[in-house]
Amino acid sequence: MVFPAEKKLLSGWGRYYRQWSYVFRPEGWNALQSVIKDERVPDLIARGLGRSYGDTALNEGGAVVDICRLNRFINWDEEKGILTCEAGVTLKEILDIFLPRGWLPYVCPGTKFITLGGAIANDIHGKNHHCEGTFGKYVVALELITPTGEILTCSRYENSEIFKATIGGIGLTGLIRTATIQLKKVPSAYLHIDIYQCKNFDDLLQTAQEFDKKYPYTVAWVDCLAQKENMGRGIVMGGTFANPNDLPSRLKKHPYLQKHKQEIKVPIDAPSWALTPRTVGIFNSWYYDWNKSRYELQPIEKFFFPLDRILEWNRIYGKRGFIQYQIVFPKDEIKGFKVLLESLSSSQVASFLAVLKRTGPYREGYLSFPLEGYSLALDIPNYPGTAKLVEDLDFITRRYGGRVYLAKDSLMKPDMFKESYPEWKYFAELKEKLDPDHRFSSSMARRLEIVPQRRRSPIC
Amino acid sequence: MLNPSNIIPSTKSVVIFGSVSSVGRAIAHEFAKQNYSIILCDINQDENERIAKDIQIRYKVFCDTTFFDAEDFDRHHEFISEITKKVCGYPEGIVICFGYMPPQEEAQKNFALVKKTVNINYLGVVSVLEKFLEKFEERNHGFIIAISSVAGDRGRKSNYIYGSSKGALTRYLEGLQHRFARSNIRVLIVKPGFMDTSMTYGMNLPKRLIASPEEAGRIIFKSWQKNKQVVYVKWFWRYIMLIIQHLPRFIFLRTQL
Repeated sequence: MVFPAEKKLLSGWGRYYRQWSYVFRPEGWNALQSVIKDERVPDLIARGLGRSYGDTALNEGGAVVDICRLNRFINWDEEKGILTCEAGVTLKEILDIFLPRGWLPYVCPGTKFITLGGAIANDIHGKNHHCEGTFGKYVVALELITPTGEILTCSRYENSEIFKATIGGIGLTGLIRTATIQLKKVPSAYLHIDIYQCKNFDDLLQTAQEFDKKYPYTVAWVDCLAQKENMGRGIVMGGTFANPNDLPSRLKKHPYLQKHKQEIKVPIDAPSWALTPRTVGIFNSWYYDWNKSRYELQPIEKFFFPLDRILEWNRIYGKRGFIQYQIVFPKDEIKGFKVLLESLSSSQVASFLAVLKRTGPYREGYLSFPLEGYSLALDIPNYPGTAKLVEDLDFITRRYGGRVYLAKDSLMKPDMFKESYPEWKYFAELKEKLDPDHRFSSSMARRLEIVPQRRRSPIC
Repeated sequence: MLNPSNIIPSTKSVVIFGSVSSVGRAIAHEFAKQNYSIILCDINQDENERIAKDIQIRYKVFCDTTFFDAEDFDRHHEFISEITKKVCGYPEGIVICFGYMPPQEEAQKNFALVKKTVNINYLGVVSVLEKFLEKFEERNHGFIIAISSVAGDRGRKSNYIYGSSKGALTRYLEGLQHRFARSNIRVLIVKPGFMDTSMTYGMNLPKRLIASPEEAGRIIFKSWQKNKQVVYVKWFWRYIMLIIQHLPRFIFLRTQL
């Protein structure tokens, strides 16, 4: 049976690239499997909620498989906290259903609008990376539909090589049909948060180090626009789950209850003049002043997913979109960090607060992002000089042994990828064995030369 | 371990036909949220079982499945007794979500497709419903939610084979409403416009007119709670169809609808 596809203009969350492709949307397992064998399309890539910033889930002139309709829970072991579900299940659904029962995924990123498949394919990390590692660590097993249409069960004990390639493998090893993950028992839906305002970069780094020893969840915001003696000023936050006994009396009986706050939707693309270094600078310093050092109790929603209240927030960067730049430096190369920050602050890029996170050594897959060290993520609006700026930043990153996060990248060069991800060779070898016809490919895979350019002409 | 046998069936129960369709699934979720016991009936038993398990995990309600083929009229009797076993008696209500839409041009040439369309969209529904209605009438209690279509409101060249089968269904359901007007049995006719399901995927329909299955499920469930007789999904389709229905023939025949 031939399943219909819709021609769509897709983009990543950063809206930097807009590319046409044919989108399949299977609603059952038969349809999912038949997509792989569909002769009409040259190659394909899976796509979830499209929260990757760059072109990870784009496939210009090829096929994209939207897995959002495959969002069923397959099995739940209440005693051990082991959940099996289809790849299209969102983190939001998992939270809505299992948090009231006291369970939370081990790794929560900055948004809950992601799918399980995407979380695995990008081996995402969260505020607890220094303690608990990446998402891939808690994947017990997964069912992979390989490029030849075979269904493989992969885990650390079975097809372990393919398992390692699929986690963080940006969707190039096949389609994840289901995955089994370990959830974490939490005492409540609230965290004790320690907020500390840091005057400059040295202060920030020192505090971040201290907090990492004290708290399982940490994150820092850096004001990239502050200059001179304020350079690198920011807010460090550390959090730890609160016991029901520590909660205010109205919450003691329902420790998992969170008040739902109404979301706000960005109605239109903001005009290009809305974001200038000046307006962003005002926001940043307001945010800095507003977050005085203090202790407070915050619900999970507020601490983990602060931006989720603003739906479609990527529209504030206007029609031209933006680039999210996230890099990690090894821990002995703090100097590189300073150089990077200096060049950012001197170029006065209108970036909202950048996110700084100390990362631990844990990484699961061949192409997983984290290194033990420091990671920085910032948004760069797309203006004519952006590509050049990113090239400069890449240069600094490369020089100090850092690497760029694939889930966010839009502009990295293939030689830089190959240098900073040395394990790509194992990945490419395995991919060649698993997928000799290059059935799975994406715009990113071709850009980074993980997969050769197409021989067949694009279909749209 | 979540074991279905641990879940005691709630006294309220609903049978959903065509539960693998995304709208059927969405309606099942709405009923599950209200702690109904649910029987899912579909021709695709593999998917159906996954959907049932999903509902059990999400809402901790009783949810079972049965194989059901709308075209296999002779076996509908057995099938009903199977359901009554599963819910220990007759269910409180029935939801009909199955349907079949052939490509119009192919159906014009191929009578087998027309037959299939009428069998599924009209005869299958009548065959199943009548078997339940006897019992409903006896106990003077029950409800029916059936998905018809705006395509049944006026025959149009782009879709009249599907439309005529749905039109027949609408007339049938109107008849039921009349029949049960003085009793405690309620019939809700649902007339969806465009919905974002596998039936319409790939048609490039105007985005503003489309309802997502979840949205449709919520709207249908709410209208049922409010005792409505007819509901359009979304609301503006009522007015779109009002205009289309009342266009004078000499204008209507010139349109490209």
